Amino acid sequence: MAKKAYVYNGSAWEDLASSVSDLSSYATTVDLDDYQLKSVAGLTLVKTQVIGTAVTSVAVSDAFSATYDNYLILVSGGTSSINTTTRFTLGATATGYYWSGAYTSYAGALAGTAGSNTTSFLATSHNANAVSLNVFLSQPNLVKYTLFASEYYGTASGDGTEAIRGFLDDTTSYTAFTLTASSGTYTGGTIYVYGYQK
Amino acid sequence: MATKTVKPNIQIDDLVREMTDAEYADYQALQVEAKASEAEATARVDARTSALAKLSALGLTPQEIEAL
Repeated sequence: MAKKAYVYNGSAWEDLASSVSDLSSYATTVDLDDYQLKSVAGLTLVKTQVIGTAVTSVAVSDAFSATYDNYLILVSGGTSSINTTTRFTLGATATGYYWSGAYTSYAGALAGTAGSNTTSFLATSHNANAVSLNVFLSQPNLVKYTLFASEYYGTASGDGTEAIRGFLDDTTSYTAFTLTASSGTYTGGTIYVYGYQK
Repeated sequence: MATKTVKPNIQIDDLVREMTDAEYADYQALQVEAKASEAEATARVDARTSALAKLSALGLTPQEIEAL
């Protein structure tokens, strides 16, 4: 036998069917699904790109669009032929990258590093056991400066870590980016591009 | 006999090919800059480490050095 639902009207319980006769102002299933999607999907996976074999640089196209203003780019799982740094560029732009960071060696020594009007951003370090990246980009697809933030993970015992911040001094609307090994090559691993929900 | 320079491979999405001359020139410029930047960072760390060692040899405690 079906059970009846009741609601409390402030002084007594009454039959839901008689209390709520008009459901037009209530959320539909579609409304609820849409709300749930927006509340859960703060980050949306926009693109994945598997890195090939023995490549010095990897260009990822169609990564940025008007759908999102801000992006997270992660890389994991690959290997490289040498311990060196990963550089980050946008589109075909090879000038105007300004960045700086507070570097701390694994021995505890502090030092600042910087690049003024360089050919790329310093993004991170990589070696045979770690091709990893964690980059935040703000508004690469807008006709404004692109702002860059990266976590530098040194992949040698004599290296260290660094929080790098910077900007690209032009207002081009970008859709693509490139990762480049400053020497040697990458093999394998995956690049993940996420867009932040507006 | 002239020998052809083998350029590194570039990957564009799923396509892997040898760099063009222009791409290779950009890559060489990036390499030069990266080496200079890495050398500069290493020199700064070494200089700071050396300075801290000298201050310590003069009798300054780590707390006193940190307060400078």
